[in-house]
Amino acid sequence: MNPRVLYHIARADFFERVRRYSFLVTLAFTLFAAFEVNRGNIVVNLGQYRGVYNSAWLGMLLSLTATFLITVVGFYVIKNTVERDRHTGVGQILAGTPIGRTSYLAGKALSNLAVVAVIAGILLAAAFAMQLWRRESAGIDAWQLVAPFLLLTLPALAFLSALAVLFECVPGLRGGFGNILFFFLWVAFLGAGIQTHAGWLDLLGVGFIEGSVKQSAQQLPGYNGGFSFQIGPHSEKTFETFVWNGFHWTGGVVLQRAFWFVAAMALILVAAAFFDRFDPSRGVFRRLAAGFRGRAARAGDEEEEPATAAGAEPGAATLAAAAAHLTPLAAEAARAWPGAIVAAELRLMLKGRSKWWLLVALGLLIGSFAAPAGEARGRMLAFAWLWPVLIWSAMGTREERNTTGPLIFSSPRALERQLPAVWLAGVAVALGTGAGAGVRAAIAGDWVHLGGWVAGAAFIPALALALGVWSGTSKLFEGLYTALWYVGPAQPTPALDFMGASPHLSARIPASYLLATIVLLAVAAAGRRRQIRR
Amino acid sequence: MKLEIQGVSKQYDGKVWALRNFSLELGPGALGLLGPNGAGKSTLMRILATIANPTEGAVRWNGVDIAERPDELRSVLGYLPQDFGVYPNLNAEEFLEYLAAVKGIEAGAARRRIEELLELVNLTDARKRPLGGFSGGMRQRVGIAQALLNDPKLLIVDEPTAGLDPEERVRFRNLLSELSGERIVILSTHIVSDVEAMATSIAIVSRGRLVTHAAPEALLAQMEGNVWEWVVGSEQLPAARQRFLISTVTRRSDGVHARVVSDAAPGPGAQSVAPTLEDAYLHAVAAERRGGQA
Repeated sequence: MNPRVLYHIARADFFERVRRYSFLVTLAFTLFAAFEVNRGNIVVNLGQYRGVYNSAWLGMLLSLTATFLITVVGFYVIKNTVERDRHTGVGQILAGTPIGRTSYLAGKALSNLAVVAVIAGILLAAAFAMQLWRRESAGIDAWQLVAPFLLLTLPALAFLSALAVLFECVPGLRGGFGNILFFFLWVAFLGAGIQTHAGWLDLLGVGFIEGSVKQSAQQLPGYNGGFSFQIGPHSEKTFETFVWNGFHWTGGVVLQRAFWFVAAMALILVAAAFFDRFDPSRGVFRRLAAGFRGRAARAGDEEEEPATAAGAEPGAATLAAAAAHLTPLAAEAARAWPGAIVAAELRLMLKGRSKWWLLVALGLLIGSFAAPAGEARGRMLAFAWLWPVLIWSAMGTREERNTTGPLIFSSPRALERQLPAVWLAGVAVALGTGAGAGVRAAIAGDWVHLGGWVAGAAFIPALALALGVWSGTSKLFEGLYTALWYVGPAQPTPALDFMGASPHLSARIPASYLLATIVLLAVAAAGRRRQIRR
Repeated sequence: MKLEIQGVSKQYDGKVWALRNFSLELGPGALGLLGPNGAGKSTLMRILATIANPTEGAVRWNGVDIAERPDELRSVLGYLPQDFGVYPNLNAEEFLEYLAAVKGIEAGAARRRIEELLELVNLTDARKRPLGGFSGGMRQRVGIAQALLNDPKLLIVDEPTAGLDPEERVRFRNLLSELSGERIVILSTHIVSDVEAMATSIAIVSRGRLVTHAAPEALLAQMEGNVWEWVVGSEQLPAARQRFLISTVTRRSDGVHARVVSDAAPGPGAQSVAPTLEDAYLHAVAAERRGGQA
């Protein structure tokens, strides 16, 4: 592995990413997170106590914020480095160079790390600025500020960077399924680390932080042993403070954190085994199959096939260079039935879905109809509307991803006809897959849940369309929708239940999501207008 | 049927001018747009195809400003961009059916049209194959077919023969020649022989400006007496290249036969020869560059 090659792969990729406008959005989000910490909306507290904002506490608080946010949101930001080379065609050029799979992927992981490290660096700077701003503790201790970022955040980011590369290389995880799977893996991983306090499971280092902070708080009057990291407004108006002097970094702790760097390197090696080097015929499964076929052929089990003109294009041999002629199109031909474009979009959405996909969708539909209790029915609906997430996530992004924009946007009334047709096709998918719950609500005369169901069918594709049109990528919807689904209908949390899955639903909730649908459609239309006339 | 391009300029990111004060008026026929890389041809095509707005100036289709009412043109527009994609899971027939619906073509008429177009672009046998497995040339033929779906009155094709084999190229040239009789066809290419075969008028573009717009015959007439065949020794060739615009070089037993584009004979023994469109193109671009530098 040549360090110079590694450096240049990482450097070029890093510059390509940070010079995009989307990176400015990421930075703005980071600054917003820092602002929220300063406002007290992101806190670490021990019951009614929090630490004095000295270097140790702010270093810990901002590093935990960085690790938490970057490991979940950052994955979706950085998981596109190999895909970009695939999409731009640069991968084809790189594939023709002597660079090895591991070197290439290690360079890409380094670039990932550099991008998320910049985000973490901003939060480190924010920790420094907050200490100066808050003036709760005068002495700035650079090591106390920086150490949590170096020893807690950086190893987690290194692991995440390599994991993102692995997801890009493994067939099946490369696309939307991987984006959704990551969220559930992340939730499970986070939970396991916190529950077990095992260093090799605790990527975020929450167990270590909790242990260290709680130890200092044992003697505080009225302290009941609680520890929490909260994002969002909290019930405590003011906290009592205590002085925390920072972590005690033992050799064991440092080794535990170093484990994540080793794990990152292992992930790159695994990714290299899966990486197809921009040739789908060279993926690991095909290589294994080819190896097997090779052995079988050597054993004399396979006969050599006669040479064929497989490379010839259909019709090429019979092609006559005669004068071509085209029949004029009648004027009435331009009057298409308005539903035709919705049907065309729906067909495009469903094209390529396997029978298994349809069978599972059908099973969920029947389940959401047949489930006897309202709670179980809601749960079935929630799953029925998680299943088509990859269909919805392609909405609004398809034209950019497949470079069909110039063909579609130069068609008559692309904004007024094609965009609503995409949304209506998305609504049709929702109505179709969730029909069971809707029909049951209608039969029972449960108008609130029927309203919730209608609002969900309208809201989900509107959200997908708006996010897709503006971000140009399906990842944003896949990540955000999965998170919304998890905290809303899956729990269920009535206020965040956009599909009427909760047994106790107020009529205001569907109404508010219907209103949100209108806003999202307006946002999508504004984005599409911008795309059509650049 | 009239397309007027009136003083159109296009600036990107507030810095680079891709087009400067470009004006042209077109009626039925085929216009060949010729120009070096980065001359602004594709930018002009995108503006004409209503997917980019001019920074200055206006484009009018039968008197209607297409920036204000783009659908007036879109309903009769066929556009083949230089870079376009397809949906890999659809086959050629399904992709064309989809675009026919997007363009608002009635289902029955669309089916008949697609049938005819698939035959025309020689993809009838491959109509059920997923587009993801198509070669570059086959994909280009799908692109040509979609541009003709709505029987366009204005057909804009950007590098249409890229990736086509020689037979397909001839077929496409014939098709465009036939179509240009009753509509406006705008064709951008680097291949001068394509323009020679199809265009009824030629516009040469360089550094975002229109250098010249004329019929091929007029361009050739302007070049009469300005193209020479000059036999020089191999060792003299580098010096000759420094002094003159040499379009082609052929090595023979009596020396190097250089085709020189020059107002006066480049040297003793130079023979005046019949000009080609390539000579005219090189001469016009070189003259524009000299003018720009002066």
